[in-house]
Amino acid sequence: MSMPESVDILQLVCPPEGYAFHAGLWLSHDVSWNAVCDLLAPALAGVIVSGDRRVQETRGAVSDKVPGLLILHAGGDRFSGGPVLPWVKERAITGRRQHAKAALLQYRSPSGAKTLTKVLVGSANLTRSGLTSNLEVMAWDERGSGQEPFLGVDLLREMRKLKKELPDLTILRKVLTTLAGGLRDMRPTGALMSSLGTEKPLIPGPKASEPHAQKVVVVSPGFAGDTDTKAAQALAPWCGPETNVDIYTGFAGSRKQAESGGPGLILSAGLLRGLRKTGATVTIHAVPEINADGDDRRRLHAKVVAIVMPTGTGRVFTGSANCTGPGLNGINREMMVVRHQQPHRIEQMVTALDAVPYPGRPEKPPTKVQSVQVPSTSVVSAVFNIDAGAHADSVTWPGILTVTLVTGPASTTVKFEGDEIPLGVPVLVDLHPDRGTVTVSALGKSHVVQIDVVAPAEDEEFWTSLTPERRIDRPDRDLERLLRDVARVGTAKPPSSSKVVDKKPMDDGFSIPLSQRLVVIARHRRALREYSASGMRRLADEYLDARSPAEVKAGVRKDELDAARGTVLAIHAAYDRKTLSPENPILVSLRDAVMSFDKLSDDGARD
Amino acid sequence: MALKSAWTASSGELTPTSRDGGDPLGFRAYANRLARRLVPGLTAATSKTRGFSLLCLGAKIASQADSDGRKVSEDVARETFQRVERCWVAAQVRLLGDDATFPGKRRATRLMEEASATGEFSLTVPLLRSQLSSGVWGSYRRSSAAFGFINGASGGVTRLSATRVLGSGSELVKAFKDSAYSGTNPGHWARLDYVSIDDVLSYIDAQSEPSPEEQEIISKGIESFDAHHDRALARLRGEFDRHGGSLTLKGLDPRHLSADQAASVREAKALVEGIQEVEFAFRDWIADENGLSVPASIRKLAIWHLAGPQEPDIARLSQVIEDSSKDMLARNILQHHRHLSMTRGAPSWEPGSELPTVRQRILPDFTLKALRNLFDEGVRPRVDA
Repeated sequence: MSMPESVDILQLVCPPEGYAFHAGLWLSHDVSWNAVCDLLAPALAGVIVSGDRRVQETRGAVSDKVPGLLILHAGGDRFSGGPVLPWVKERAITGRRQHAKAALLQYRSPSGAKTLTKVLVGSANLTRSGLTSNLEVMAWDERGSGQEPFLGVDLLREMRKLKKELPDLTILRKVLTTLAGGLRDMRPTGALMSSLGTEKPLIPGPKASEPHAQKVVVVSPGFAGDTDTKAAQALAPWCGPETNVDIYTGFAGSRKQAESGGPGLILSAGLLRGLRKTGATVTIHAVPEINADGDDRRRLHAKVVAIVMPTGTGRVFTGSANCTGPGLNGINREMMVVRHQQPHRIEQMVTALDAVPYPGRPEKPPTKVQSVQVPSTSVVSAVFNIDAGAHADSVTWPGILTVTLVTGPASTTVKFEGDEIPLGVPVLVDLHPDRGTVTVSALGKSHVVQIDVVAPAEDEEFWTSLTPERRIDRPDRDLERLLRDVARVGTAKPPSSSKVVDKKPMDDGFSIPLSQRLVVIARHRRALREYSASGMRRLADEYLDARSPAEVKAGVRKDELDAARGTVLAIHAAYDRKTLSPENPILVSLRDAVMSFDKLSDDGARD
Repeated sequence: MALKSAWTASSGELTPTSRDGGDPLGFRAYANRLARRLVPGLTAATSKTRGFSLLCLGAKIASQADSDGRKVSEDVARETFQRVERCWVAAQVRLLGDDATFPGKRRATRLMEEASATGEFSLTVPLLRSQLSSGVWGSYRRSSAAFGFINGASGGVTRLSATRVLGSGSELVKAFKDSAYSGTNPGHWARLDYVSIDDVLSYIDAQSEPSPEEQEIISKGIESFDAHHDRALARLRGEFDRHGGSLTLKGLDPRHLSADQAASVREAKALVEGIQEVEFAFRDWIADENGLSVPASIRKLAIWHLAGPQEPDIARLSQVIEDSSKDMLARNILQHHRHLSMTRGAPSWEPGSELPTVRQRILPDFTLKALRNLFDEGVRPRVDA
């Protein structure tokens, strides 16, 4: 462990210069889809903007033609859904609890000729705190080509074992095949301890010839139940009277409070009893979780076991397994990476935790401990096909939602935005891009599922066709000229009744004739999206009608102006469907055609 | 590369998003939309004039070709931009200590303490988690594009290396450099890994207050934006002047605002009332488990009529309140909250929840605070434009 250096997970997954994310598989226990959309996916795709545009650019930053990212998680209340993200899919794993946190990510050069694979195995979940603030541990490596051993090969093997347990998922097959292609000649390292496919201990016991350890270091949150003795049993073979066991765990307080032994440290009595039973000396170290600034977001969530032998050698296991029975014994699906380390490096590693020996009495863990088995739930497939003519950055997308029951009781119900959706029947709905989920309920339990959203088939660049900001914020020169005209005419002194006012070069005081003004507005129609119906009516009056009060009274050019006003309002109505529909059928046709014009001009711009 | 392992870093400062669970009943997303109508072009994060100056300076330096005249790669452009920002924040911390105003100051303070032995401040260490999106670039990019200082995002994915500083943005850079970097070359320092605290940072006059030239250029940028937005910001400047430097929702006079602003003020006031009457009562109930205490008058709140069907969360809550008997009201509002949380992926609250966010009683400020800060710093779009 290269301490005290620390690593940023989001930096680790950024695409290297000259590469783009292509395919990946990520295992996590908990998944917050919002954290995926706000943090992980933009990092993978190299998106750097913020605000609403962040998720919009992220949607288009990875082609929906590549395999993309598949996230496998524990399901149920461990998954929370969120916005639409077309190149990321999620599936729940039931049965033995999926607790491993690992990723295999492939990046490719634009031509596809070069491939680079990154592997990450650690303790962090795909949640906001896991990705940004917790104290986690991470092992990682990357490789382009060659025949050297690579941890990614070990991980791929484990993922293939897991695949055999899962229903035949096309996306999983596709991702695994792609990942395997990038690891062609590489060999496994043997450094991955895994119970992903098969239940087995994560910390192998000593060989018959090996003595007890001189020191065992455990870093873990205090998640073991109070009567859990299985974790101690997993470590006991390494422990004897000559062994010092140092347990580092989170303390919900400041350094000062930890030094005085104040309340805030939770640890299983069963674990302590079991370790002391071996004759080992057990010391508890508190890792303060509130820093000098009062910030309490850095929770200890890392999981490490280090074993120092009297011979001056050491092994460090880092990864997902908590110091609990189901964790260390691999009853859960877990992964740890083992590395050989010099004792002084292990010492350096724990020093970086900035822990203090805890003189107080540990508190009892909560009585409720999560079950090791995750019951199977109804599995549904929810697919939403966006209608042609919609835009990637529209407020909502019209389209067809089809939900089908893959497995589960016939009583399964599915709700979309609070309304029940019939299973197997395509339904016309408006999908809000920020809310890409359906809620599945069966046998009194509910869970959410992300909807697979498909862009219109005829619009290959749907996700990347965002409205350029310039068009929203700064109408270009022609429109600015027109606005200057409006301002000038608006501030002009009213003409005296006895004189003929010279309105050259045009008859109503504008330097652009009325017909040309209509052309300008039509050309810059997207700028009209910003206006409410009432604002638009006012704007149309200011732009188009510059007649003097006398001319208005006399009805000069009234028909012409009414027609121009109606035309502008019809164009505006194309962007604001809440406004009243035009009465004139020609204007209705114009309104309906505006979106097609937009699409045509977008296509033209791309060509 | 060989297998490596390490603890994960935490810089602790992260911009929360609207999807983080701070909006239990669906009022806050509406507040954001109203803020965009009332104070177009700005956000709650764009509260410092020099944020615009620093963004333009960073973008200008980052997109400059390298010494061989080659176009810089995106990676290099991003790193260069961040170093300009780190250098500025460090200089502020050195000059102003705790009074420094830019995000990342806490980390910079620690790095400064660590650097005291060598006298060299590292520009390679991020000051913020995801510095680009949570720092100056993420906060000021869109407003800077709207005010005409840089080009806006294209239809695809935004690249820093492709960002161009426009004419007025270049003027802003010049004014900023003249005022704060006199005698030093920020472009040079941004290409170094370390800068001397005494020989570089101490020469940067990193005051929070902008120079008169910067105030003028930003005021003009706002005016140019305002010309296409019904002079919304200038009208608010008028209100700021009229109220002696105060800018509150309560104090705004709709007669001096554009029609859309006036409507949004009306809706914002009704929204605040709704939050106080319904959301705060809901929070109290969740925190204390003493039952939901709301007056019968909540059925008649103006917000239910003003929000309209285009605000589905408010419309749904309004329906829930209208349809519920007194006995069922609490249960149904909780159900509305659960539904909202589930669709947003936010954590759902239950009575007795001890989450610290439950007790927060923060009213939206509709970006008025950020705008007032800019006005306080001397930004003054012409009211009679």
